[in-house]
Amino acid sequence: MARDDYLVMRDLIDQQIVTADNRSVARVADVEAAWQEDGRLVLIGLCVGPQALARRVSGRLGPIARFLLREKFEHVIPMEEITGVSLDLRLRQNAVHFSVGQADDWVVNHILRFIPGNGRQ
Amino acid sequence: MKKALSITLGIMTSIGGFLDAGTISTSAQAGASFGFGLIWALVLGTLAVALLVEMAGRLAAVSKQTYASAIRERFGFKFFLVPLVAEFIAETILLAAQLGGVAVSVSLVTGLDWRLLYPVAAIFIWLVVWCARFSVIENGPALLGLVVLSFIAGIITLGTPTRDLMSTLWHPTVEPGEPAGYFFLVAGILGSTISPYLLHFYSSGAREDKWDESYLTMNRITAIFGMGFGSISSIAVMILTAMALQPLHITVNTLGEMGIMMARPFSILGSILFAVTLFAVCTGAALEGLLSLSFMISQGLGWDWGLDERPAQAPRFYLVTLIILIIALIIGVIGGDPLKLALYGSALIALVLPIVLFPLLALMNDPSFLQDHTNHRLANVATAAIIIMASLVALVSMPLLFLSGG
Repeated sequence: MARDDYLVMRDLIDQQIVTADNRSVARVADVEAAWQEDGRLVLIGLCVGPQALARRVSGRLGPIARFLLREKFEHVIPMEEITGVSLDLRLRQNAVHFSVGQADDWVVNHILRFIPGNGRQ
Repeated sequence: MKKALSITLGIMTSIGGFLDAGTISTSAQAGASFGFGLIWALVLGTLAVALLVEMAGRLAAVSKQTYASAIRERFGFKFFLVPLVAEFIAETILLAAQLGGVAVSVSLVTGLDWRLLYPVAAIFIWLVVWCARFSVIENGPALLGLVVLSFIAGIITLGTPTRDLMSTLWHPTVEPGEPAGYFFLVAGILGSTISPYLLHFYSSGAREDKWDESYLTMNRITAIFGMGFGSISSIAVMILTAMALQPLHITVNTLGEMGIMMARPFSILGSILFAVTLFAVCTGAALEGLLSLSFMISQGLGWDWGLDERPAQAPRFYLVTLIILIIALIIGVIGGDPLKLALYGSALIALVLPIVLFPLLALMNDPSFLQDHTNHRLANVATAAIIIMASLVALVSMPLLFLSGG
């Protein structure tokens, strides 16, 4: 692997996540990693959600956000779903396949549906 | 051909961003109280905003990023919150003032109380955002351009300014006890001219039109002409109020009273012309401010955004526009006369300019975003100097004005 192919945190954290059907779903808030048996640290997934963002702002804010939101809006996207890292992080599948991709549907089906002319199919 | 069309983006941005309730209020107050004595601040603000708009366009063309997404990617989420909160506070106050401007303009024609029309104005703006495409909003400037000409026609009708008035251009008369007001208006003029939301709007438009490096010359021309055009209209307002109001020793205390500046050259027709101008200008500015703040939030959080999509294709973006509009409505209902909101909103923007614009200067000097199109040193120094000056003047004059009882 050439030196340029190594990802650095700057290429992941805060990057735009785009699904296969070109929906912008979120930006990376945090990463999830695990120690392997052989001592290597391996990235497992990308975290998105308000609690992960709250932890970024302040360590003390993390528990408060957790108490209020109770993991309801947190999502982890497994690393194997990512196909490319260029300007954006491209995902292998369409938005409906990801829990975070359904956030938009929730807003449409619970809030915008009451307003005429919303373009909902 | 497509490149030629993109100049409409600049003109549209400059009209929405330049001429708003803030500019009309600060320019008219400046003209009425100090004659031509504050034109220099407008010229200085124009220089800064032309430089900044060119930078925002260059950033979008070279890095393929809007300003907000570049801030988040370069500085991280925690830092992104700082300009976001600063802009959110200042710009929702200003949006409340624009909505007030729309309401006042309708009340000038219908005679209804503007407070009753205020919620109607908010619903009107929301309807435009909900239904219109970018292309519809792009057709507005033609109408606006004609309206701005009416200010210039007003100046010609009133004739040549007196020698006393001309001398205020280089030697403003500031009576004892007035310096706080004078410097407050300097801050207000700089804050309303250097509108940060303009940069979000412009860089978002550039992304929607898929600008690349071949647009850099076009971008430069657009920045100069667009901002120059906006600046001429603001200066015209200032000259007109100076000529129409200062000789009568009238100071304007509400947005509606400003109609006098058009009523003097054109009587009843002038009042209607003023109402139409106020309506067009405040509608444009309310749309641009609301959209820009929503762009900033959506781009920073990585959501779909844009006017070319139906609400169901960018739901979180449209939800944000709705929430911001409701907040502005509440501010406007408890905030009193739109003129006061516009003046304080503009001065507040001047105060936070370094917070919201230094990220741009940092990005413009970062080769990982701009490659070999980074800023010239002169542009850095000039922009930074004007921004810091605007903020310091706001910092000093705002408490002074409060102490002297506004």
